[in-house]
Amino acid sequence: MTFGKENTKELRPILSKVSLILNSRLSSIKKAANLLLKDLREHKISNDAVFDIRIAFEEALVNAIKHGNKLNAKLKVFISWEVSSRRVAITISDEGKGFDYRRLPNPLAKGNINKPGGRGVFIIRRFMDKVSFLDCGRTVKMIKLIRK
Amino acid sequence: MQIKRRQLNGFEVLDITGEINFDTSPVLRNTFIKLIGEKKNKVIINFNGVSYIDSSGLATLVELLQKIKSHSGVLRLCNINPKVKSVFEVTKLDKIFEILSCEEDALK
Repeated sequence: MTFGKENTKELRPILSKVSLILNSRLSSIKKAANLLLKDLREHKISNDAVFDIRIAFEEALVNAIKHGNKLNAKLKVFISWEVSSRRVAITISDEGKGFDYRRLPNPLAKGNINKPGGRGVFIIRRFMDKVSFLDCGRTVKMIKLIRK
Repeated sequence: MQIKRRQLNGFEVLDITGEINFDTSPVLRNTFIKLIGEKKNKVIINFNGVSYIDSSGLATLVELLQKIKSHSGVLRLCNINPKVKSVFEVTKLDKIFEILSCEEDALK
């Protein structure tokens, strides 16, 4: 077991740390998600939290592969996650052009609620506890706090 | 994902088993479009066997709701498990879909 700092005051045990590189194919998503789910279940993360983490993870991967890398087979998606007793932290990066994550339409707005698409990032933000975009939107970092 | 079709009290009922996601939602779309082509415009989707839905699944359902409404039809959803229902609630789609607790209520 390795140890890392959660903040300046507290140490937390890191239960697992995984890095993956995916090809920009939608079929890769299921394989990556299965690895994550297996890891979460091995560390006794609750079914409710697993559902929330899974939906955010898959939404972020669909965005990276489809919208970021535009399904270009030459471009990769870089994934890492870290499971600790207190939280699950996931980072996903693509090699696309990025996007303006500050100007996404609100899918709950009257004119948007009946539109089929545009809910992916909103779902990520609602199902995770902390979400931040870096590198002009090419990287998303997501944290789910584990409540015992 | 598996979809079974049956008819009950003038409704076409689709029993879905599995996940409605980016990978499987085209199957649901095709089945539904076939129903509309057959002039079946009263549809219930029974979510009893649905364990997961993502934004692609929601997008497909919203698209199908618009389609059936444009044919003066009805689409009702029932038996949605609490976690799957939470995805509808978070996105406020529980306000635009008719969501019933059980199939009996959906058939009324």
